[in-house]
Amino acid sequence: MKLGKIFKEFIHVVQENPDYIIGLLNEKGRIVSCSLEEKINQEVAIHTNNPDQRIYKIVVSNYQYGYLWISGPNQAIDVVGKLLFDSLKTRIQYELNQKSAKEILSVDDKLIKEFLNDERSNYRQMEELMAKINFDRSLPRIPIYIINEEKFDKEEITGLKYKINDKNTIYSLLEPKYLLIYKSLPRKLGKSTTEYLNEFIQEMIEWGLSDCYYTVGSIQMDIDLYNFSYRNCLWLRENVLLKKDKPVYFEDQLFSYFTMNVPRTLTANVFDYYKKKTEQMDIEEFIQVVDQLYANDFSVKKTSERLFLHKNTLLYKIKRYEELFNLDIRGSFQGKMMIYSLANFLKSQSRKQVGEK
Amino acid sequence: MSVKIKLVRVDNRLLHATVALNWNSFVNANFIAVVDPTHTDDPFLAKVLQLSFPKKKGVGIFSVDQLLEFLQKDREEKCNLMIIFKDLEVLKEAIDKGFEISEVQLPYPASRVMIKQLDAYYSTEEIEAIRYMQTKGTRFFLQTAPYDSKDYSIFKQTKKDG
Repeated sequence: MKLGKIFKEFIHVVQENPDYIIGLLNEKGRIVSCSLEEKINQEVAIHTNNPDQRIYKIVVSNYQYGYLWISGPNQAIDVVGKLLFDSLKTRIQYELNQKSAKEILSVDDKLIKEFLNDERSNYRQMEELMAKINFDRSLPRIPIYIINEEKFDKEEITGLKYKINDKNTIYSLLEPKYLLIYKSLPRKLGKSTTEYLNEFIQEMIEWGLSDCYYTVGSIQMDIDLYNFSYRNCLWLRENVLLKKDKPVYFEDQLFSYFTMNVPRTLTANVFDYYKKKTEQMDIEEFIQVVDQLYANDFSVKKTSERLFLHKNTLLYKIKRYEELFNLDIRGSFQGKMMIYSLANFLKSQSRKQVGEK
Repeated sequence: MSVKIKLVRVDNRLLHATVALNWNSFVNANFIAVVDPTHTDDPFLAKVLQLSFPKKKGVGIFSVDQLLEFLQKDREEKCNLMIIFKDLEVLKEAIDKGFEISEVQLPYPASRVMIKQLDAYYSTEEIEAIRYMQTKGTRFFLQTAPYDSKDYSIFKQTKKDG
């Protein structure tokens, strides 16, 4: 922190008011910086009784930065003096906080870079980084990947450290538009993980990370799997329809994840008969309808509301799919799974990403 | 782009920059409005207060009318605002003039564990102002530092005040 540079800002403001002179004294009382240049290097008695002067000892975070010396009209010197002193101390504290947050963030950045490194070679460096921030590796963590189409404000993201205030939650701005948080989870939650994370994400949104997409990967205890859980977030970004400020959880999409990761030749063989039948319908609409049915526990009422369709219109579409594929979608669990697998297969053939038109 | 109010606080130490420092990062404010009609004609004080933060974080001293005008102004930059009112009377004046706010924070007037009833810490006029603003839909809570929990209980007491 450059105190001299900060103090120059104070000098410029005080110079606008000719009634006052301010100086920064070293511990011996010598003026090292002053709004009246000719006073520099003069000595001031630290324990003065002069009614037109005030001297304040500048101590911030248990460190002494010398003294603030103020000279001005007796009637207002206490108000102005205290305000200048308070502003100077606050500014020093602000700069120290920023410096400390940036230092910690730099470790977070390096550590996350190591976690995401496909060729994990430097375990020793990772251990050193974890030791620097007292990273408790016995805690479970979950990655929250946040996408901002505009790009994040770097300084604002530095300030996020104060809001999160948890040394075991680390984050890094991977790219101007992508922020990755490894959120630590308490050993005893007292509520469901989703409930806990929804509250955390809601706090992030209210704090200022609004108008963003949120994808949440799998919970991991083993740091070797952090890269995998980050990739879960990327998979969600590429394969699930995201809505701004509505988190999407990997664990809610497991079925889709597994079916989409089955070798394509296998699914192509399994669904060949059904694929031919899809030539008679709108595939994109089919995928959308089945996705929403799945997301809403196959409730026709809720799904029709989500799709802004009349309930009867949706029922008509479902009946059409049932007739076309000879499946019982509404009554049978197997039918539901079959139709969802088919939709995922078709989706895997025409993937769309966030932001793609 | 309109102003987003992140925190409203009543604190008679309003020129005490530490209050703003403790809160601005926590609530992600980039402008701090101090509402104190007694200091609005003193640009020197406003400039000194601004020195507490780098220029990217704005600080201003306003009267109630100036605050309302500031809130109305459309702007290109994002403005996350933290407002510190000098006292309950000034806040009441703002609410009477159309300032709408759902929650207002006050620092704990005593140790949290010792907290009693409103009349132990606030004058009859202040309690009347609180009750009046509550009828306008504003909730009050005590919270001194960012990591304290919000305490609404003292303002919910139904016992006759004073």
